[in-house]
Amino acid sequence: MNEKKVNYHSPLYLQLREVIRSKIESGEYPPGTPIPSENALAETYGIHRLSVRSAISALIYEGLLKSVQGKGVYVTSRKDERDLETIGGFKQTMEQLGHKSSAKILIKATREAGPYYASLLKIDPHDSVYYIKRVLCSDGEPYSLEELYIPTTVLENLPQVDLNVFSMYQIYEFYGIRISRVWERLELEELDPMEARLLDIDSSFAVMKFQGLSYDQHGRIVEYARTYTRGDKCNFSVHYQREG
Amino acid sequence: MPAEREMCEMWSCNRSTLRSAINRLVKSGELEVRPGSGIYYSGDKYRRKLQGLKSFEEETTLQGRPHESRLLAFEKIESDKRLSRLFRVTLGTQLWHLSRLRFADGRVLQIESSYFLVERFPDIDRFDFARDSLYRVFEQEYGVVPTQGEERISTTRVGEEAELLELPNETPIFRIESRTYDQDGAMLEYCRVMIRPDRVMLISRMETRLAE
Repeated sequence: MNEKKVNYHSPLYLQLREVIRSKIESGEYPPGTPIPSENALAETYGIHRLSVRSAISALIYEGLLKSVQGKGVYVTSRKDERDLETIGGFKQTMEQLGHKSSAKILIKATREAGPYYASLLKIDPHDSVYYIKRVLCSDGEPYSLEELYIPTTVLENLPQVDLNVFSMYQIYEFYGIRISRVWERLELEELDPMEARLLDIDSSFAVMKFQGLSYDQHGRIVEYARTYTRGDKCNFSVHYQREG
Repeated sequence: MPAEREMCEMWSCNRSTLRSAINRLVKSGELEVRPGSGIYYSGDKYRRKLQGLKSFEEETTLQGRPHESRLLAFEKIESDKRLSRLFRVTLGTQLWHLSRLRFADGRVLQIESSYFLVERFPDIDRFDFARDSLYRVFEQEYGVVPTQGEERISTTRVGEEAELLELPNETPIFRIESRTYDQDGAMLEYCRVMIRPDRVMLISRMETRLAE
């Protein structure tokens, strides 16, 4: 019922999946190198090619393997670990991890909050908010699709600020806003085909959907963010402690 | 939910727009389609807090949800390479493997598989873990307090667990691996959880630890 319990009764594709996983973990298949071809694996283990394919597909999904069209299936480097408790913008986090980050702004507009976002941001439905939609890339590859809702009273000069150059956290800092608390919830969701294309994935691919409400040092709500992150690109880690 | 036609009139949109909106909510678990009957609000998702060390039993009670557990396995196993490394014991050391299927509001949510040392809890199999909380037993019966830990969250596709979780094969799910340490900082429990994302959301609260 889980991979520790995979034994000789288990379907062959699951057995093979664990074989490949342990070869990656032990370093027999090092990152950056191709694993044997479907045919070779099918032959080595005497199983059907379709079983080989299903064994590999889940590992691609987990991000341990990457399929490169016309070339083969490669072992990837370890996934990025993001610490959910350390507050830091995307740019900062990626740079700490040694990646080059970039953002592509799709929409930057001012709109009326409307009842839904007003209730989240605790403002009046007629108050205006900045709406920013952007794709975040790490080393040039799309990684997250992000939508931000920021009350215009929080950052009056935002329309003049170049969001391609500065991260939101840097901008907040310029204006003396320190994010001191964030509530986040995480769900798994499938994207519309159009949005999936922005992340360069198939729409059947589930992404991690984060929703976060950020508070500044005065306890004021400064931002509501909705982020869709590719699960194959990233793991998240959390430390927990006994309360009280 | 009202009939499709009514909703189209209500928001003066066409059917395909409505359908794609509904589709999206079905995918994220907000709505449920019951064939031949209509579309229903599927109720609140169970909120799993990432910080804090509450047991499933405590957390569901706190959220006012009736809960249930089904024992899938409770057995002694020998540690393999990976588990040995985690617990810092030699290969073949005896471990308890406790696997439970968790339900809240009568619906299956997740499969939890826990591993802990037989040596520390030699007679723990006298407890009924379909009812009891593992952390309660650790604490009250053995004086071992789960004190801190770390969790790693990732996504995968459901394989062998599909049937138990009542999901079609290859459905995307959350996979959480956690390591919990006791009051002396020793490795207490390793746990792997496969979670239905349409019924559970993960909640986290972050706070800057200001140096000044």
